[in-house]
Amino acid sequence: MLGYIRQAVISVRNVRFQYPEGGFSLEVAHLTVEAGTRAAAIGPSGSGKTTLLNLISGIERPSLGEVSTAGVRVDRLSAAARRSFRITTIGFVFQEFLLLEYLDVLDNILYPYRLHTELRMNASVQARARELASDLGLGGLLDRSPSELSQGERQRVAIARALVTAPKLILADEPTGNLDPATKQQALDLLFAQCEARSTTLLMVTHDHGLLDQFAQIVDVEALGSASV
Amino acid sequence: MKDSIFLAWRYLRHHRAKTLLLVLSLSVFLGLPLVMRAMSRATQESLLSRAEATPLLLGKKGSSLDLVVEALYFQLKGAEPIAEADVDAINATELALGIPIRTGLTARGFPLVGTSLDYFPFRGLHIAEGRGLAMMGECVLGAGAARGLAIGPGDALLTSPSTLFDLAGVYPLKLHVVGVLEPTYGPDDEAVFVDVKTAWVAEGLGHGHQDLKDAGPDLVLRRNEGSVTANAKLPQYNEITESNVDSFHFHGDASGYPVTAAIVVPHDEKSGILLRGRYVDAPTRQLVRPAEVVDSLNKQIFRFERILEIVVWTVGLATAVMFVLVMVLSWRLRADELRTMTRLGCSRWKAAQIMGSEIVIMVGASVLLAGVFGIVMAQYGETWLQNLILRGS
Amino acid sequence: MRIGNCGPSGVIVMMTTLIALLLGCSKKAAPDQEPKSQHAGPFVIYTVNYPLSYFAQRMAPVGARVVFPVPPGIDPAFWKPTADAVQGFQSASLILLNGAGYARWTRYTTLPRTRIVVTADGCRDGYLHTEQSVRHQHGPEGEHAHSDLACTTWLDLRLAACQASHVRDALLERWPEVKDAVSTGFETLEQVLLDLDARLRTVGKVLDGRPILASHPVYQYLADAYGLSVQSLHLEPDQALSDDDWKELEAMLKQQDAEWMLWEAPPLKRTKLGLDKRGIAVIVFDPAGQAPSDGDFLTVMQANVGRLECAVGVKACP
Repeated sequence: MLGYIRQAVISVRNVRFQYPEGGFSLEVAHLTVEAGTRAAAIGPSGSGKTTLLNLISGIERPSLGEVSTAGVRVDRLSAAARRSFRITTIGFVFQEFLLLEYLDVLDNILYPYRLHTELRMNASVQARARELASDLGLGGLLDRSPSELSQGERQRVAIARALVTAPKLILADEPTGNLDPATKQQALDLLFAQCEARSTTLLMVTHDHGLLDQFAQIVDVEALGSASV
Repeated sequence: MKDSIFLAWRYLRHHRAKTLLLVLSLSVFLGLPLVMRAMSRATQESLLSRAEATPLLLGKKGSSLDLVVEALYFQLKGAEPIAEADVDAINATELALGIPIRTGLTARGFPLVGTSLDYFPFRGLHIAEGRGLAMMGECVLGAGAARGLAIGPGDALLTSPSTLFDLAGVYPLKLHVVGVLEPTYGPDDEAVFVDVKTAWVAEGLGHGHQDLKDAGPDLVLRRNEGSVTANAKLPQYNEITESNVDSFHFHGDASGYPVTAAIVVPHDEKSGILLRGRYVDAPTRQLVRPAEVVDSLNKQIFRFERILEIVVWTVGLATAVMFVLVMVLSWRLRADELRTMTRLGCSRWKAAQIMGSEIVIMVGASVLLAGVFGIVMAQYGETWLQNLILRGS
Repeated sequence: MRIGNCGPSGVIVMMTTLIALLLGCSKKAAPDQEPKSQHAGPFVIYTVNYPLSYFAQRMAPVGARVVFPVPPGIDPAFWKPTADAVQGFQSASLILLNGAGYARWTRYTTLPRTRIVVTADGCRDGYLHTEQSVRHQHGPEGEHAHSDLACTTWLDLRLAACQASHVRDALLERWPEVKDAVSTGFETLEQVLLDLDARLRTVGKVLDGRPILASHPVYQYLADAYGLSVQSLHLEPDQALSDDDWKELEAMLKQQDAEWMLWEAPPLKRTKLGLDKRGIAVIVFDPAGQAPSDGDFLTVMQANVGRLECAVGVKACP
């Protein structure tokens, strides 16, 4: 009897990428991440982890090879189509959080809706944002400025922003890099719980090998192919 | 578009100080040249309209500009006076009406203007509160003077001594305010009007004291038949009241008393020409057309205004360049934000729209502020500019 | 409401409202606003004494209003008007002043110069001075005197006619369309005044410089015009003479033996008795500065002249 075969959310084959100004280049032979998987991407600095995320999200386009994300060949899309795809399909969590100090917590969470005409902010979106905030323990902080929050609270706002568009994939680039150990695990637990609740695939770049046993799939970027400067 | 404006507004609101500074700078850049030009035009028109409303002005031979500035705009220029007899002479010609104007003193900073009743209908001045002049010792305030002094009918007002330390000079005269005029938005609003005789008393040319026939020995130096000589102890009244007004008198012939100028209102054009002809070769008098004098002043102002405009536009251009520089630097400092927007899928056009909205909001606010500034200056700046020009003329 | 909490649209609305309010506060009066008239209504003439009031009434046509605001019983020469009364004068179309310093109040009040006519100005070469005035000196100006002009000019009937002519001229200048009525009124008045003048000249000739006493120094023009030698005291008809008054009178009689004494009004009986004892006949000569209770200016002057004529024997007494 065949087991349930989950569709690949990320599929990278024979990709070659080089930055236009020369210097760093990346080759990835093969990478697959299935839907709903909690995956971690590891590798030393300069191994191409961020570049890999950029290729998967469509921020960058490979010179050779195939990149398929959520069933869409992003390597074949135009820049505008990749942007549109990105916002409707992928959520980002950054190491530096990259919250906007001039917006309050709720507006930061809803920020993606302000950037794209494809996304309509209506009452149900606002309700979803509030619910998400509540789930992440931010219910009483919606009118605060990010500068008034702790590091952990700021990270939770970043997580909420990533999830508010109900993406199929979350790409997190060292999301807990600036957190202390206790807060780090708390943030991870929340991220994992939210992804699991929404069946959202998570690919997280991390340097912390101590976290690897919490992930179902480990992607060793260095082993995928070669990276050179 | 709504979202772009929202984000732009929130950013500007968060950085209040920077936003305010930029908006103020821009509004000055936008508003100042226009306001300056509008104010200057309005001031010149206002000066000219008052001058045109004054057909002729008779004064002592000398600076016609000083004469006009002092007699029409009540700015003290020290114009040499003529005599009351000159006013009588004008009236005696039956060619024109002569209206005396006596300036030189002030009352708590406002010019004291001695004149006759004919001045009020001539200038179209009407009583808003109280009544007009009836007795010596009374005064009628211009609307601005009443507001500035916060007094009205029934109150008193002291004239100011001509020099602060003139201990042996004229004492202040206590005037009784009997009326306040309706505003006319001109120099008359800032004046304190008195009968010309009251002005003379305030200057010390007339006075009142007790009857010396009944004076006690401590006040009398010498008493002969038909003649009494008082000493310096004799107190002189510093207020004209109903009970002592009879005692006020002038020494000598009143026709020799000084007036700063006489406004001359010819009965018709021919009379005006005849009068001007009579004063053409007058050795000690000049009969001028205020409109001609002010027109000449306006031409000087216009030349200066052109130079000032160039300076203002240059500064304004520098302000605009600085504004652009500040915006560019600001966007550079927000590189992380721009990168985040890109990574979140924001198009370059949308990013430009957001940044552009900030500029639009600031420029819009600057335009509105410049508009408010312009209106305020139009309301109040004209008088200020007019006084500045007249004091410096 | 904090501006910071408003959205951009809210701020724009507020700024626009502010501008609209500022623009709405109209700064300047409408350029076509007409000045208010100060002399609407009928032609009104104000006078400072009764003779001028009478002259004006004789000549002013129908529709004109002559106002003599001095209350009865008050000497108009020394009347002090209230501010309201002064404003009445200010509202007049024509203000008739006497001249010669009459009505001291005109010195310290504000009257519209263009509507004033000083009726006695130019009627004679200089005005007469009173006999007694105390000169005084204080400060560097030197000696000077106050109120030293005699002012009952109309008692010189020729001068009165001149004053009446100035009233006529003033009326014609301001009301030329009623020339005939004014001129006719003046001519009949002038005739009567000149008749009286002629009669007084006859009296003067008959008297031929014989001294006459006067109760008050108000007959200067009468004396000067008609050659009367008048010595004045300061007595009131309704007050009894004191001992000092009688002494002053007797001192005067010692210098010049007078047979007659002019009084502005009939004196008290005992005053008359005292004068009779001293051989002085009372002649009532009402200066008519104030309106009479009976008759008018001309009837008063006719009676005055009649009494004089009677007293000096020019005409038989009634």
